[in-house]
Amino acid sequence: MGLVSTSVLLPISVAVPLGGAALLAGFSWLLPRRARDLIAIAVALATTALTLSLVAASAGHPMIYWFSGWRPSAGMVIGIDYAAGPLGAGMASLAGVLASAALVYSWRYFDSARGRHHALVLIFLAASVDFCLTGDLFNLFVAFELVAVTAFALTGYNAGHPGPLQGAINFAVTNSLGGMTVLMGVGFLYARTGSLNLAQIGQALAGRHADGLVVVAFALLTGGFLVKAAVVPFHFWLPDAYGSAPTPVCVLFAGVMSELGLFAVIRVWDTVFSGLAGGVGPRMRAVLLGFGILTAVVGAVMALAQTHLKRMLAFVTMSHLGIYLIGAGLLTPLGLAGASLLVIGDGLAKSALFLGVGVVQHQRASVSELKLRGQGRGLAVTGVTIVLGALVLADLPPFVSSAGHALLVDAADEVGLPWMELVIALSVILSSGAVLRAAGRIWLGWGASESSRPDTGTADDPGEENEDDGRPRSGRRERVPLTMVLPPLALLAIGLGLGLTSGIEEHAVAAAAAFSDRTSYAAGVLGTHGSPIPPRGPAVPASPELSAGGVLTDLGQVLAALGVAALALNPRAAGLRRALAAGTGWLRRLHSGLVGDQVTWLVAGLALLAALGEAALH
Amino acid sequence: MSVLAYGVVAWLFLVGIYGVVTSRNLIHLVVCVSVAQSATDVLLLEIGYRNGGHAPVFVDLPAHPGPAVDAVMQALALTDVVVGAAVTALLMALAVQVHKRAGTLDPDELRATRE
Repeated sequence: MGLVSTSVLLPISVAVPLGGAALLAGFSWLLPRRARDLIAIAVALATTALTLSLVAASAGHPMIYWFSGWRPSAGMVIGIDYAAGPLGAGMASLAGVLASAALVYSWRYFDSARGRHHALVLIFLAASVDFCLTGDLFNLFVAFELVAVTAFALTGYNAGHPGPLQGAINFAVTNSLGGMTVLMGVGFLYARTGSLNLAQIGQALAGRHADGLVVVAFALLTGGFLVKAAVVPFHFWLPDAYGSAPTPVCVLFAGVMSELGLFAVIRVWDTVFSGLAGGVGPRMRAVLLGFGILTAVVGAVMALAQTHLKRMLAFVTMSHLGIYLIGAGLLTPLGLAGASLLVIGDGLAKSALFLGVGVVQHQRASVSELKLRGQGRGLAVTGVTIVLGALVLADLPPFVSSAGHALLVDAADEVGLPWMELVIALSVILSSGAVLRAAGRIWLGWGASESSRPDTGTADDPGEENEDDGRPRSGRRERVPLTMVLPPLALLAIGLGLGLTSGIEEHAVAAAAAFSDRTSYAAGVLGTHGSPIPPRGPAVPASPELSAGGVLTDLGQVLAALGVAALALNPRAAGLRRALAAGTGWLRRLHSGLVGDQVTWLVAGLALLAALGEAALH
Repeated sequence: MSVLAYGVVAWLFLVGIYGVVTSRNLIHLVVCVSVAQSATDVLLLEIGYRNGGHAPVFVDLPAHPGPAVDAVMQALALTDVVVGAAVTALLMALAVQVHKRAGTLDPDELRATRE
């Protein structure tokens, strides 16, 4: 019965934040403000602890929980399950950590946070955990929508300006359409296989050739998840939403939400489609890598073109999502392990960056890099935070993202794509360079005060958004509250601590191997043999320690990012900058901020995905 | 019957998407999202449909009730209706706020106010 007692932790990890949200939403009028803050933070921390315990408990063999004890009978699923391995549970605990940081941060961020904000954050957390743990395709859709609906509400939260409202509307419309395509895909798979359980569907499709219906289901499901993951050309909503959402919310978006989209793509691929006959793996790898490379490069180039700090970070996020897709899209345990460590390491760093920008916005009432030039004095700690965050994004060793980068490079070599390293390096250098350029301008006062921007007519800079009910800020130069300074530093410290943990690569590779092993996952869920065989991880490449070459590569990336920033601020390089701005103008004009354009791109992307899916699966 | 139902699904989805893409009014746009959403519901019901099947209610049945339509798909459609209602309500609330703050419901004009 030991198994039952630990697997019951799975539903508890979802019930705790949901219960906390209900408490805060229902009784917030009874509670003083500080009590609401404390309850919300305590619930988020408890959820983090629960999901971390799941990571430990599910190492070796997956944890399965059947609701109401409706276990499969003779290999036929009749109930609904949670099926978690360390990778899914790790994703859930990342959500917990970031939600905790966001809640601590919003202690002083909102002048008048009512219980609703905290309740929404906790529902978002519960839905994210549910999303990571579920083994049921329809529940995956429900969690997808629950994450989405709370995210729409949080984007428009406290919106006193049309900008955030429009961001929320674009976000809601495109992601709702993504949800619809996911549901249609679920319906088609049910029509073909008669099941909603991931393992059972995978078993039904295994060894068969994909017919048209399966290809359409693949395109609809994957397309819907890629909308959430903000992969080119499904990404147009992302800068609008991230650029306008309140900063604590951006932390959740950048660190968790988009990654959940990728998580679902790989989850569904590994459990459902990977067993299809006809050597589908290598062809699907090409498709996913294509999307990944495009997203990484477009995001990095667009990040460099931004002066609105939150939109810049939005594109940095997108560029890194492309890199994760490259890692996961290699469809090897090593690539997935590298992507997972990057998701953790970069997620922490990106969140620290958003929180740092939030401090600047709170203290200086602006998020424009140009308006803030030389305004960084008095915010030294935040400046260090932002520079450090940008360097971590460039895989500064010994932070955990550096370990992930090393694994990713090894994985690309393993499948014979060593040039992938250059694509990753280029994206990382450009996107980190953009952030460092902004930091140099704000804290060192470098760079000319370019007053006119060449890109009028685009939505690059939607202007200043005041997030606190439009109230003028009193005492702007007052000390920054510790609850706003410490969370980003704590997140960076976690990244450092994980990077210094010995054997984290082995753990990641074992977790990724368990995650992508379809047959042992199905055997564990369907109970077709007594005790699930612990999946054997493939050997970690010869050097689990960071090799000297890897460290040098990472340091090279860091230096190159600094070089890009210096070049961008050098007055003598103005001609180069103008040429680049002219060369990328068409790309920036595509990001029009109009919901109609975004939906057109979404439909075109779906058609492209269906054509590629047909070529890869059929 | 079957072909007609799938035709209705395709029609509703395409009409809804077309409306979203070309909309000049946020309320109209939200309604178009709902139209596209209803395509998914029809699709789910059609997938679960059986010719001659009775409703999936399993009390007070006659001796030989014959086949029932698939209750699972009906449950999915019901859940989707709930999700759709939440999204529509939220979008409507946002549209009202936009009108309050910007004085317009046209996405194009709204964009102009931001620059």
